[in-house]
Amino acid sequence: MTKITSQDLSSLMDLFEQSEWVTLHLQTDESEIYLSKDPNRKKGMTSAFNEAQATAPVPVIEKTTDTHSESSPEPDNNASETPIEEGHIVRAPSLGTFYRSPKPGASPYIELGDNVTSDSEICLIEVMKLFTTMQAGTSGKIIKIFVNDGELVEHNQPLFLIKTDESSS
Amino acid sequence: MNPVADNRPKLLIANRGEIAYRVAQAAKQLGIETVLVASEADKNSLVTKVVDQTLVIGPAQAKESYLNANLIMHAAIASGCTMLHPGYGFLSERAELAELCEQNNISFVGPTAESIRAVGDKLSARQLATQAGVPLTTGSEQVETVDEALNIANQIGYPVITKASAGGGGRGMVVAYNDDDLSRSFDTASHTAKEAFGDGTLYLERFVEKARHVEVQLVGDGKGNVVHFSERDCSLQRRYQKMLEEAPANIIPEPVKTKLHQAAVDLLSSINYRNAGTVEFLYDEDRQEFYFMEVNARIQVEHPVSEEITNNDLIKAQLQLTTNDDFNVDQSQIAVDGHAIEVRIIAEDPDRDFAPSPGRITQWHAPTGKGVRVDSAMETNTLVSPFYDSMIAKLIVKGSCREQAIERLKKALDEFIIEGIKTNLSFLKAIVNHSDFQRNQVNTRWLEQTLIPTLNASQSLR
Repeated sequence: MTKITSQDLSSLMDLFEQSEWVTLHLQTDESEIYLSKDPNRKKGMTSAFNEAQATAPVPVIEKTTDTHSESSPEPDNNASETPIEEGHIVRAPSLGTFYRSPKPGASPYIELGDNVTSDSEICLIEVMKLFTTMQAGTSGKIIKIFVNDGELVEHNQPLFLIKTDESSS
Repeated sequence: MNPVADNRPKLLIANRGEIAYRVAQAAKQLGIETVLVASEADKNSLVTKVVDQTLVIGPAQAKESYLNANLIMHAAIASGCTMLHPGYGFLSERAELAELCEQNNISFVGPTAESIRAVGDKLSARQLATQAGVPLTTGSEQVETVDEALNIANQIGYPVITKASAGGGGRGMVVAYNDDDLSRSFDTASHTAKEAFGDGTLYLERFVEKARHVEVQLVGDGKGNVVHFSERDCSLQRRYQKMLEEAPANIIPEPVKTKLHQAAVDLLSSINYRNAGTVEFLYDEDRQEFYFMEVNARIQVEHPVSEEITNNDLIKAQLQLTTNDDFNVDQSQIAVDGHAIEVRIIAEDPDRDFAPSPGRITQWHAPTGKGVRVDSAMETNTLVSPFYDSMIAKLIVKGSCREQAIERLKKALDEFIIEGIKTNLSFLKAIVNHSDFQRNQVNTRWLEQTLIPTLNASQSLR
């Protein structure tokens, strides 16, 4: 096994998702893959994720690199490629319209700085009047909201950055 | 979800690969703004470089991206598109997409949902053909049981072929030469149809031994006016998948051609057909008769050969018909000139039973020159994805006559360089260099019964 294709990776992740395993670490000559189902898991992770990971159908924890010391309070789409702080990025599962509150006029599910748990509801994604509620997927603190309410988001676009409980200690 | 109020047309391209590229080009020439929907796997494709905007709608798997009508509609509405081109394959012939467009005030570049339904079901299409006076092969209504099938087969006369009522592509098709054949294969055919289309209903037709696949390219204005762009001969098929198409069909005598065109025009004008469509016929060379097969309610892969011999741009015509209610095509303005041939370049290995061969293209050089056209969205370093159809290019040549077109095709095939993946280039060369092809003595089973066995035999001798 020398070269891992995106199809290999996709199959691998499907198998992993169905398995009882919590983590999977695979290393070949050319690449290294680290999969984890534990949202708080951090130890042993590397930042050597390649683009193929973007097709991931399962939640994957990303360790982002710390290039700036402070987080920006403003939603910023451009931050997707150069995350500014370490944490868990919640991404859009498909194209759709992003809503921060359960219905028009209602208060947002969460605000910047709020603490969330793995099953906290954080936003809605709407596709042709079908609304999907998204959960945080990890516990921690919302330190960045990348998208404005009512904006169109693309598949895999970053929505929130969550500083996980473990990473804050 | 508040598109800017604007009367200028804006087109959503709901496809990928060469057809998406081709549609984007045609739109650009007409000054129409374009939005492409792409899967994660295609987000950096060559097509994204020729459109005004790309929206990544979902992961690589087609059912979560190109086959998800809701995602595509959401993208169209949110980006302020006024029209949508479905290309071919994917959702192009699903009435649901056309219907969603109608409900959301987006012009579908194609027929109405009603027309797609009317011609999409083969039995309903056969009824339409009968009403329009288009000849059919001696065939049957729905056949439920083996006994019923045997009865009908004996009335029609062997050989007969079973076909699935709900779809094409060869699934559910079995040729039977006698009662034994039919009793043995009927249940399997029905089961295959059920698996593929969710409907195991079959019907029977008389099977023509020396059959040609011919089809007429049409364009309708939705008000009953339908014009034709002559016919194509697409007899070279492997497992009912076309590999080489040419226009015109030299095998058909002129008086029969006239009747063929009229039959196709009559059929589509009877349903006020809108936009581009094709009526496919089976042509019996011995009897010089044609029989209706099916209607393809979309632009087809092989449309370029018709464009070449009529000097028209069918994709542009599709877009113009959609943006301009008064756009008219006049039959007297459509004249046939020369001969065109298209071959489909496919990422597959002819030496391994045509197994798909995805991977990265390490070198790509497409032929050029007089009368040579290549429709493709590939270049050096493109990754041929395992997720989608493996056709990577269409090579189209035109000459003043069939012989000249063949000479140009030979030269162009020799010039084509594709490295890093396996392709069917060598197989296409074998077709073009074969005397049966050069003398135009082929039929729909020639590839499978003559060429492929010959090549396999010579390979095993090596």
